[in-house]
Amino acid sequence: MREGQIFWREARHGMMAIFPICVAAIPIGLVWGALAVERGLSKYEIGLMSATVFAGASQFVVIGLWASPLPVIAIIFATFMINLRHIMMSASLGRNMQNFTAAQRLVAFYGLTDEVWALSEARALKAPLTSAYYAGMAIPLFLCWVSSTIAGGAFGQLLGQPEAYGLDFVFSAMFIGLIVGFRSVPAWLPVVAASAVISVLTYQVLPAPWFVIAGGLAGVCVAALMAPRATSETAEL
Amino acid sequence: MDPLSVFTIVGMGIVTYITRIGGDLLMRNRTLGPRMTAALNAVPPAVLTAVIAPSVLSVGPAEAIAGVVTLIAAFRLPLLATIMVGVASIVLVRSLL
Repeated sequence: MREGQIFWREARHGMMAIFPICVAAIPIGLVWGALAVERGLSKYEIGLMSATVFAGASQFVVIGLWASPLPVIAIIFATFMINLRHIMMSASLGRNMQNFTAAQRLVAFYGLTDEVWALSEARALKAPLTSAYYAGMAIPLFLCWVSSTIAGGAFGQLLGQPEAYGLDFVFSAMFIGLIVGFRSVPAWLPVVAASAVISVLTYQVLPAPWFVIAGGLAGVCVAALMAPRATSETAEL
Repeated sequence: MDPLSVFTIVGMGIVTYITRIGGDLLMRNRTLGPRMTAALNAVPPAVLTAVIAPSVLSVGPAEAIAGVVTLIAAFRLPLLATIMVGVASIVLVRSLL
């Protein structure tokens, strides 16, 4: 009984944490679904992709590549490249999953998105991450994403131009909010500045997925180079 | 559903799952030095910034201005309010430019 109470309390806290992300995911999903239908995907294909890939950034890029005949290898490769950033995330988050069973880890990583991961890391800074808290975030977001992309495919043409309502900016605004949420990380400003500069420069010279990899690595390298100074500063405090 | 589309989508799902579990499989049961720990701690802000930077800074002045407004709001407001400020600012800036 007590264990059950703890489970539901943790799950409820996870749901409260993910709630604003779910609200933001609905317009993003609607816009993506509408774009996907324009590119020739059926409602079933939209639902299948959202449920199996479940990664907004790569789904947006792939829709740009979707054509007839289908460039199968290019699409799968682009997906892999854009989602390579998950390797850095799962390496980092895995350290905070000591309370998870092996089976729970396998399922949990299926639901690892930028947002769930960002909030999991934020939670782990304050309290141990539990599987109930994680499920309370991942399951509602999964259901929101799959259903809103299918709805976008079915009714997306009613949206008209997403730019008119600023809906195309929801994704950017959500990420800015998540990035600022990590400002307690040592060397936050140099890390963010290095990632932004290298990402933008790479975007000018190389095709689509590389800016994510190059920008992410740049920020991580800055953090590694500044590490000894950052730890001594913390020690002085 | 078109079989080739289904094959492509399932392929996308498989490579994505590999990226999601890969970091944990590679890094599990390793003790990390201070530099590696600092690097992993910086992954969240670094990667999130890299994903979004071009669509805020390389598209046009409206996105860049709204991005700065959203950034300032993010230091003071909870996430949902930050997103609402971002959407309101992009609509406003576009109507002014």
